[in-house]
Amino acid sequence: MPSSFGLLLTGSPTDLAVLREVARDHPGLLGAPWWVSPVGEHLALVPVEGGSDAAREPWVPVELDPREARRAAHLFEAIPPRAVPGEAIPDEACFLASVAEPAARLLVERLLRLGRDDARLAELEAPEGRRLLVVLERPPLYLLMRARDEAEGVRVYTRHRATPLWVAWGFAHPLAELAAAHLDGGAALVDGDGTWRRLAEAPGGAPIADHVRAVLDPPRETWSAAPGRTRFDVPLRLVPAAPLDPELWLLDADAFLRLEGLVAHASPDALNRLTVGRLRAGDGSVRYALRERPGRGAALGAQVAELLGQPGLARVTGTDGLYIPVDRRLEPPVGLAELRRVLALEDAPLVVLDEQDGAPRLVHLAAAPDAPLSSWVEYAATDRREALDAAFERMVFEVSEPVVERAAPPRAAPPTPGARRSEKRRRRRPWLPRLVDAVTDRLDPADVRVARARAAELQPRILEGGCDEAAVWRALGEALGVLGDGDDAALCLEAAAFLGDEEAPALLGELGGRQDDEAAVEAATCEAPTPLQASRLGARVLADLGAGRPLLDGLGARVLQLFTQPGLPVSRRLSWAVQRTLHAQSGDRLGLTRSREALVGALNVDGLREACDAPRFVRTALALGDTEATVVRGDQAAALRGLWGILEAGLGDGDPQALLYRAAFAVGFQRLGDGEMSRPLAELVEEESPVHDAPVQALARLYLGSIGADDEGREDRLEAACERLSPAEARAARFFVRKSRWLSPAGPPEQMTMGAYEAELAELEATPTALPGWVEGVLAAKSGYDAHIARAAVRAMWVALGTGSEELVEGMLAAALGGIDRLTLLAPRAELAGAALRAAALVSDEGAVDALVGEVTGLAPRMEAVGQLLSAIGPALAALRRVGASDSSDRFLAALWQVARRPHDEAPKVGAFLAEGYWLAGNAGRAEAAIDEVEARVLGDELRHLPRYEGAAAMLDALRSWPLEARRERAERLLLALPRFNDAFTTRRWLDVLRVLLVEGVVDAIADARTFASARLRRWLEAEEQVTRRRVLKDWRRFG
Amino acid sequence: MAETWTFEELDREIDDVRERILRHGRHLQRWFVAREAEVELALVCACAQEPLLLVGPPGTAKSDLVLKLVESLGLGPEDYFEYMLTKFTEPSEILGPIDLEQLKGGRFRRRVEGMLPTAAVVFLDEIFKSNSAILNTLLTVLNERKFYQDGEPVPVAMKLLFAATNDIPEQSELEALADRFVLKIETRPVKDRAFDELVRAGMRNEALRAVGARPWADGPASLTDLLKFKRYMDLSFADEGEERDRWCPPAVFAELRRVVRVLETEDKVYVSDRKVVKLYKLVRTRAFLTHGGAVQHDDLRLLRYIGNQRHELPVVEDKVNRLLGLA
Repeated sequence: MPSSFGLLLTGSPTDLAVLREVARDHPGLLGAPWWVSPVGEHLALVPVEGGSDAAREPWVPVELDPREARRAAHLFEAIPPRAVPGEAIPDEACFLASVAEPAARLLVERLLRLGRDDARLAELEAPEGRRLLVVLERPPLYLLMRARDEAEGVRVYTRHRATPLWVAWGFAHPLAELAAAHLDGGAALVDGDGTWRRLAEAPGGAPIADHVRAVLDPPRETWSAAPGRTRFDVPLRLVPAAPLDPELWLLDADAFLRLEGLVAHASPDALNRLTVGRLRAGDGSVRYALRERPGRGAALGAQVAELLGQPGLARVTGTDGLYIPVDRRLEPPVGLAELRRVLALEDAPLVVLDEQDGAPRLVHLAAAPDAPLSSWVEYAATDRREALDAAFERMVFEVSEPVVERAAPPRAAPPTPGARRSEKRRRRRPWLPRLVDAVTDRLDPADVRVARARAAELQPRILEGGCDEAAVWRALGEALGVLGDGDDAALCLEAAAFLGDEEAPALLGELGGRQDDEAAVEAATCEAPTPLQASRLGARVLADLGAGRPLLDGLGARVLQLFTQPGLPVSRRLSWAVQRTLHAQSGDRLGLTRSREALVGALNVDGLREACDAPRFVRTALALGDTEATVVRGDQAAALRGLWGILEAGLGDGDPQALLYRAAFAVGFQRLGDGEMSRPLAELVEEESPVHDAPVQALARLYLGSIGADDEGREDRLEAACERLSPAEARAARFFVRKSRWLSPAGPPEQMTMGAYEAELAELEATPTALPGWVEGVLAAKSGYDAHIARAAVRAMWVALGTGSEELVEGMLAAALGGIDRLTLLAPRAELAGAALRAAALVSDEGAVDALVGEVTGLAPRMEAVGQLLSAIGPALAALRRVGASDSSDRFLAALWQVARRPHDEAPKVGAFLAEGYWLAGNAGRAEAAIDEVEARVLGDELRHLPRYEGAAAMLDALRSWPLEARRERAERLLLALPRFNDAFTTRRWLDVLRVLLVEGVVDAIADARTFASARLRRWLEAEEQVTRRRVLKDWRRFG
Repeated sequence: MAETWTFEELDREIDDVRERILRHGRHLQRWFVAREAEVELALVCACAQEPLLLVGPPGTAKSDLVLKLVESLGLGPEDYFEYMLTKFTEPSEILGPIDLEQLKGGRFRRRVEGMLPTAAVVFLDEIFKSNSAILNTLLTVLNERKFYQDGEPVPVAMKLLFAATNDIPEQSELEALADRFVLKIETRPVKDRAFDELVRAGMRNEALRAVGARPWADGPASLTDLLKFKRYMDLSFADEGEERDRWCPPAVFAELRRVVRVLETEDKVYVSDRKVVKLYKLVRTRAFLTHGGAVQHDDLRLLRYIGNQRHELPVVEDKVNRLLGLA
C-alpha cells in the first residue's frame, strides 16, 4: 500500500470545507475508489489513484496502516455519517429487515396495530438474503426508536430531503447532496457505521395489505338465506305524546263559522296560508277541512285551535298526507311503505287517523283543502285598521255577508242555496255598526269601477314616496272611501288635511260618520284611546273647526293634551294637523312651538311609524313588489331552486359540507313554504347524517332544528347538541355556531357603560337645557375614558333630539364640535361624530353637517377598524337620507368611496356599505358600480381568506335591498366561486366554516323577504318624513 | 405507627405480605362489577403511597371504591377523612377549626382531630373545584406530607390519598395539583356491558348496607401490610443503584422510555421529570406486587393512565394499548 498524500478528517466542521474543496478541484475523485483508515482519533482518506502529489492544503502526507485500511468504492462511501442529536420525526423513512427473520413480521404487525396501512412494502434480493423494505411518510416515533434501540434486525433510514439517499435515523451524511447526485438513478441506504447498500431503484412498493395474510382458523359454519319471509303482526295504535302544532282540522259547519273571528282580523298572508276544502262525510253531512300551510311568520295553529276549540291534527313526519291528533303518535314506528299499505295512503290525498269513542277511526279525504281561506272571504266593508283591541269585540261581525263563500270550490259540490241561506241567517246580527251600514249603503257597481280606476291611477304616485300634493292624497282618499277601504282612505285624507287641503277635513269627518259627543268625550278623556277612537276624534275636531262649528267645552284643551303625546297611535300628520288647527284657532304661538318641538322630537327619535303612517296598500306593495305574496314567494323559491341546482352540481361524494349545505337550503325552502324541496332535503340530511363527523351531524341537526324555532331556545339547543360531542368536537361546533347568523344565540344586549357619567346624566335628563354645558365641560375636562365620554355625549345628544328643540340640539352640536378633538381614540371620536352628524342632519344645520362630514371623512382613512367606523356613521347616513340632505349624503358617500377603493382587507365591507347607501338614496348607477367593485375584489386574488368571506357576506347583506333577479345573479356567481372560500381555522379537520357560512348568507339573501320589504318601506317612510318635516316647519313659520 | 422495619425483617415476610395484598385485591374485586382496573390501580397506588385520581361522571363507583378499600383494610372512621370540595371550602373544613382557647393565648393552632391531618386515608371529592387557599394547602400536604400550624410545619398522618372529579379543568393554576396525580383513571359507566351483573351486585350492596353488614371489611390485608410493602420497596430502591437492569431489564426500560417519548411527541402529553421518576416507581411497585420480580412488558400497562387532561385519558389509553400490543 503506497504512502501518499491524502485527507485527514478530524470530525470538526472544517471536514466539510475540505471535502468540498476536493469535490471542486478533483471532481473525478468523487466516484473513484479510496483507502480509508483511522489515524488516532481522525480518519485518513487516500485516493487509490490520482489525488495530489504534494503537500498543499488540504492534502497532507498520510501513512496508511494496511491492517486498518479498507477500500471504499467512492469518496462518499469512505466518509461515515455523523450522529445527529435529538429524535426528530422525519418526513419519510424506510425500514429494512430480513424476510426470513421474525423482525419483519413483527414490523408489519406493529404497523397495522398503529393504523399505518399507508405503508408501502417491497421485497429486495440482497447478497445476504431476501430483504423487506417498508417505506412510509411521517413514521411513528415508536417504530423509529424501536428499530434504533433494539437488536431485532430492523434498520431504519430517513430520506435526505427528496433525494434517493437514505441515511440511518439519527445520522446525517456530510456530503449527502453530492452523494445523492452520484447515485445515477438508483438509491442508497447508509448505515450509521458507514456501510452502504445500493438499490437499483428508489424504494417504493405495494400497499401493506398486499403483503398481509390474516391467520385465523376457527371452526366454520355457513348460514344460507332462508326462503320466504315471516311477517309479524304488530298492532298499530295511537299513544299519548308531546303535543305538536296542529296543521289540519276537520270541522262541521258550526265550527267552520267560528273562523269568522279569525277572518275579520287575520293578515292576508295568514289567510293565504289557511286553505279550506268542503267535503261530504259518509253520513251525507257537509264537513270542512281546514289546513295551515307553512309560511312566513309564527304558526297560526295554536290560535286557530283555541278559536275552534279543537286541538286539531298534525302531520306524521315523513308522510305527505297522514294526519293524527296533535297529542298522539303512532306506536310502534313502522316504515313508510308499511304505513302506506295498512292505511291505504295512496287512496286519498289526505288521510286522517284519529279516535272516536275510544276506537281508532280512519278517514280518507277525497280532496285536499287547497283553496286559500282568503278566497272564501269577500270584504264588503272594513273599519279603521288599528282598532284591534276594544273595537274588535264589535268588529267580529263587521265582515258583511256573505263572509264565507267559496270562490272556486275544489272537487266538491257547491253548497245548496238552502244551506247557504241558513248559514246567512245564522250569521246575521241585528246590531251591525252604523259605520258598516253607511259604507255598504254607498256601494254602487258603477261607482266602484270608477273609484277602482281612480285609485289605480293615483296609487303609483303615492308609492314613489314624498308626495306633497294635497289634491292627490285627497282624491285617492275619496276613491278608497268609495271602495270601502276606510283605513287607507282615512290615512290619505289625513295626509291631505295635513298638507292644507280645505275639503279634506270634511271628507275625513264623513268617512265613518261623525263621532258623537259622548264618544268624543270618552275618547278624549280615557286613559289610552284606541287607534280608532283617537283618529275619529281627530277627524271630528278637524271637520268641526273646518266647518266653523265650535268644540264642546274643554274638549279642545283635552285633545291638545292628548295629541301632543308622541306615542298616540295616530298618524303624525293627523297629530300635527289637529294641533296646528287648535293652536291657530286660539292664536297660541308658543303652544304651536311646543307642539312642533314635540312632533319633531318624536320624528328625531322614531321617525314615521310604519303601522300608523303608511297606508296598507303602500305596505303591501312595497313589501311584496307588484305581485301577490305567493307569486313573490314562488319567484324566490324558483331562484333558490336554481342556486341549489348550481351548488348541488358541484358537490363531491363525502364532502362534509354537503350535509350542511343541504340543511341550510332546507331551511331556506322551508322559509318560502316550498315543502317539495325542503322536505326531501331535510330527509336526506337525516339519512346521510350518520356517515359524517359528529360536529357536522350536530350542526346539521341545529340547522334543521332552527326551522320554525324561536331565537330564545338557541342556547339550549346548542348545549343539547354539544352534550354528545367530545370537548374538541364541541369546541368546533360552538366556534361555528358563534359565527353563524342563524344559529348563534342572541346574547344579552351589550352594556354600553358610561362610567361615572351615567349617574350625572340620569339626573340631567330631567333638565335637558343644561346638557350642552355639561357635555362641553365633560369634553374639556376629559377626566374619564374616551369611550365613556363619547357614549355620554351621544346619549345626551339623543335626549336633546327627543325634545325636538332645535336650540337645544344646536347647543349640543356646538358643544360636541367644540370638544370632539379632545377625544384621541378614533373609534369613540367616530361614534360621537356620527351621532352629531345625525343630529345636525335632523335639525338641518348645514354648517354642522359640513363640518361633521369633513370630520368623519377625515377619520375614515385613519381608522383600522372599518366595522367600528361603519357602525358609527351608518345612522348618520340614514339621517341624511331621512331629511333629504342628498348633497351631504353624496359627499359623505363620495369620501367613503375613496376608502373603499384602497387596497385594504376591509375595503369590500366599505364598498358594500356604500352600495347599499347609494341604492337607498336612489342612485342605482353608483350602487351597481360599488357592488361590482366589491364582487370583483371578493372573487379576485388579492384578499386573504377571512376578508374575502367578510366582503362576500357584506355584499350579500347589502344585496337584500336589490331586486330578486340581481340578488340571484350575484349569489350564483358567489356559489360558483365557493371553492375559493377557504379558511385556516382549526375546525378544518371537520368542515370549511366560511363556505358553509357563505351558503347561509346566499340563502338569506334570497329567502329573507322581511329585510327586502323593510328596506323599500324604509325608503318610502324616509321620503315621507322629509315632506312632513318641511310642512311642519312651513306651518310654524307661517303662523309666526 | 412505627415504620422502622429493617430490610432483613421485611425480607423474611414480604412474600406473605405480597400474597395478602394480592388476595385483598381479589377480595375487593368481588364487590364491584367490571372495576378490575380501578381496584388494581387503587392497590398499586396504595402500595406505593402515591395519590390516585378517579375521573368520571357521578354514579360510577368512585367513592364506593375508596370507602370499601378503607373498610376492607379494617380502618375506622378515625383513620379516614372524606370531603367534597367546593369553591367556598375553607382550609378549616379540611385541616380543622382554629382552636379559640389557644387563639386567646396568641397561638394560631387548629384542632386537627378527625380531620385530614390525622387521617391515614383521605378521599377528596371534586378536588378541582377547590379554591386557591385549599389548592395551596393540598400541594403542601402532597409534596411534603405536612401542613402548617402557627407557621410551623407539622407532619400529617396521611398514607393514602384518593381524589375524584368529573372533569379536569384546563386551567394553569390547577396543573400543578393535577401533575401530582401520576395516574388518573377514567371510571366509565358499566351498565352497557354488564347490566345484569350491575343490578345484581348493586342490589346486594344496597341490602348489605341497609342491614349494617359489611362483608368486604373482612379483607386479608391491613394497612400495616401496605406500609410494610412500601417500606420494603423504599429500602429496595435505595439499594437498587447499579442493579437497575436486574429489576428492570434494558429492553423493558427502553420500551418504557419509548412509550413516554412517543406520548410526549405525538400526542403532546406532558410528562414532567417528577412524573417520570414516580412512574418508574409505580411500575416497579406493580411488578413486585403482581409477580414478585423484575418489571415485565405487561407491567408497563400502567402507562395507560398517565394522561393529564380529560380528553387525553382515552387517547393515551388507546395509544399505549396499541404500542404495547395490550388487549
